[in-house]
Amino acid sequence: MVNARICGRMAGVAVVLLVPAFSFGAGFALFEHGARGVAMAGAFGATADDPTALYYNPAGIAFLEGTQAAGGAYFIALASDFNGTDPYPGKGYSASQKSQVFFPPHVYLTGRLSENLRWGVALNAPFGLGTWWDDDFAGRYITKRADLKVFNLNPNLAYRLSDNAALAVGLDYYVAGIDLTRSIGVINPYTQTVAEVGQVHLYSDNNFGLGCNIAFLGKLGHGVSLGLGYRSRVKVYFEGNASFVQFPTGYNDFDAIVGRQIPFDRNPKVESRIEFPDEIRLALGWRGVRWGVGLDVMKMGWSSFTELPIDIKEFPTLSSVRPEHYKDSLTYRLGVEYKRSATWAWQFGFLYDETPVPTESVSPLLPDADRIGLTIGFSKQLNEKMRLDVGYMHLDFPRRSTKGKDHDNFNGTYENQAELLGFTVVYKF
Amino acid sequence: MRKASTLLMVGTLALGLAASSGAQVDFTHYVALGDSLTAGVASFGLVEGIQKGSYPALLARQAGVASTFQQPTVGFPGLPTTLELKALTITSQGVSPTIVPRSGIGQPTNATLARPYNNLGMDGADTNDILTIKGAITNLAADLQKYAAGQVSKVVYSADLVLRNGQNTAVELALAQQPTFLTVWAGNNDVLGAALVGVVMDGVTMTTAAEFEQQYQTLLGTLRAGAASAKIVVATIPDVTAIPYVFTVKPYLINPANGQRIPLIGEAGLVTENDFLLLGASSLLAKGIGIPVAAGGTGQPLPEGKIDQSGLQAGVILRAAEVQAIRKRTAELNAIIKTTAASVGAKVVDMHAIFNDIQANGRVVGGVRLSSAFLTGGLFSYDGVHPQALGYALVANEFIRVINSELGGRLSEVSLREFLPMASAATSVAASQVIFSAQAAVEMARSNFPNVDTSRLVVRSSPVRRHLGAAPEVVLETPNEP
Repeated sequence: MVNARICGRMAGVAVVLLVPAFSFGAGFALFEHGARGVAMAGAFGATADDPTALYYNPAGIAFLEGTQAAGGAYFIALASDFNGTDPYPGKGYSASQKSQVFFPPHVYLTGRLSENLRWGVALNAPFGLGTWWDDDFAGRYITKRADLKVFNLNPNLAYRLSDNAALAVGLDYYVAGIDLTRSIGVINPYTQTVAEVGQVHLYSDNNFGLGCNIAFLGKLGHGVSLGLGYRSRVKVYFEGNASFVQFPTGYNDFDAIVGRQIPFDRNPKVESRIEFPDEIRLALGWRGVRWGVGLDVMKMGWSSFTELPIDIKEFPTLSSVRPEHYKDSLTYRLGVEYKRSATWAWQFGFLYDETPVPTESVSPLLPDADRIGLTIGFSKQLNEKMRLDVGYMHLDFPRRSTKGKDHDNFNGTYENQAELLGFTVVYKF
Repeated sequence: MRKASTLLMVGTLALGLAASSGAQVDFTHYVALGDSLTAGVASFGLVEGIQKGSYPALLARQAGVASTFQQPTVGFPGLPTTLELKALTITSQGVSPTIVPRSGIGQPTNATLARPYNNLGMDGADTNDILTIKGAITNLAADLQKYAAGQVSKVVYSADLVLRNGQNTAVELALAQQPTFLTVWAGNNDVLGAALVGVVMDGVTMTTAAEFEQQYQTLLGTLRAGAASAKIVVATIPDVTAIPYVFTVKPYLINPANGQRIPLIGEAGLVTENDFLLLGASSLLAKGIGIPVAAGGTGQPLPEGKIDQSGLQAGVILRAAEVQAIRKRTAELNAIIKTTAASVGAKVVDMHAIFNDIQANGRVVGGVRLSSAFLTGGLFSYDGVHPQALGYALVANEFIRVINSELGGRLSEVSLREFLPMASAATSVAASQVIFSAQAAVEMARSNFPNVDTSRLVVRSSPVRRHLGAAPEVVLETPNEP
């Protein structure tokens, strides 16, 4: 058990160092890639008038002047509780996730190539997942800790077709890592109950995937604009290793048998793969002198995520395929901006995300639910070159019951809540 | 306000409906009839620690009537003495467990109860026994001795323990309690005995369909006539090949040198891959019996069960044709169970389908895969026939699903958390003491029939003490992480 404690501490260090991210968009998507956009609940695809457009609508950079940069991060605090139902883990059982703070960063740089052509490079984290339960969690045979980090290096070219229309194309180069830890439970023939005989930690190297994106921004007149965007699916093949730690049960011969079956002394190769969903965005905006309004609807092609295979090459009996069968989902975002003065603006927003996770796949690995978000933020022009954007989001997740259908027969109700506070500094060179 | 009051009305109405649907099943006087599976036998014996988790006891607990639900409890180490696992030894064929009876014998701990028990399940009872057998607690010691001497089958002393008054049958004692709710899981021993001794003979080791139909109709008919408004739930008979006692020992050996299968020898010829070896075969195999000389064995054949002029002789092989005959009969009896249940308005828990599904697919609980596998599956006890505590909890939950879905009950399922403890008890077990005996296999073979010749289940050069004995040695697949 000492090993377990050490692992726990090491895991804690890892989480702090590696900038992971809990899933704050439905499924394990992240939508927090620019404070002004977040403060408008993400309804920024038809506005897209600063370098964060590289995420919301890359065609928007075609209208930017000179060289511009933006960078920032989000600080995300999560509370996640679970209440069990019978038969397992039983009524009256409750657990909470460990406190975690995540800070997915974002960096954007745009510049001019010619009168009508702009380049831009974005780096952000479009997907991420971080769940972490206590070592004595009743669902520890499913997961103790899960950490998925996906960074997207996204170069774009945007061409201004006219004063009122622009088109952008880009490449999405994903760098991803996955890290999963769970306990190993087998029946102890002596006690005829489940014994926690060890722990398996799967960790991948940084793996890569490639996709593309295309976007359009049109200014329709009378302040009305239209944004359209598509990002393709990206398949990432993960390669890594598994490390196993044995927990002695006190039954020496049983422990010896377990020791023969599970490669505690080696770190065998592991392979997995995730096909990240494509994304279609339709954005409408209107902008007056002081007021601006945005309405974005996105369809996430989550049906790409059908399973999570864990293939431990030399030990097929230890391999598994976790069925997921996500469904495509829609997300609706409504945002308002009020420019109080030339240097000061307020933003507000409301969002609703449908969860793509079917009831039977709701698990401690990802206790997903629909999301309702309220946002507020401001933009302050600090000087001629620099603007500070701050955006706050409160995310409420309606209670999600597994309705007795969980694949792992781990049933109950999850209740999550998250607070997100982020900033972006926009700089014009 | 109007909206709020409407909501309140709707809510009250919904609650009222819920309460009335819950009230459709009255568990106030719950009586369970059946055999060892109803009694809560595990690891060959009846012992309080498991009995409190028998499926009838769990149903009573979930229904909130645990305090009045009485059972014929037996103290540690059980009656008969329960088996325990002494050691697991790694061999070239996998892992070999040593399972032996504990020492001593358990005593009844609830024998003075001044009314009939709610759980009237009798170890070893077939359907006819539930209808006809009587027993007196005063005869228990004597009948136990007769059982130990092989003169009577288990159900004789079981009836003494469970029925006690020497005057009434189980059905009569059930009706005397004016039951409001009854469970009946009968018929297992109408086919199981054939598998335990490896002999399939109509009317001897297996009840004929015609006899069973008459007995089962009488059983349910009598219950319905005596308890007109009681809710009744019955269960079907599992396939005998769905229990580890029958499917665990592979009908061949693997040559460790080249991975090829070595056919084993039975009295009636080579054992084919469609035949089944009973758990009792493992102790003989461990002595080289059934293994060709060329493969390092004695070349002596494994015994086939048979009936000849000296009577019923237990064997360790179930030939494919015998299995087919048992399956056919099981199907016939299950059809009778379903038809008869429908005729008296009883609901059916299809344990036959459930056991088959568990054997094929296992059950996942909290991410841990449980299966029918002997010792490592988590559901069956050390005798390979009866469930252990977790298995009985799953059985209870299957009953609860039927009670809820078909009778409008509102029972919550039995929590399985106590079976996935937060930390393993760190008790040390002496692994060096390897005790070998076939006596538990002998006991299993003698469970259902008196005067069974079990001598061939034991290696002749190694005489067995009848009262102590030991258990089948089997070669297991080593546990795999799910």
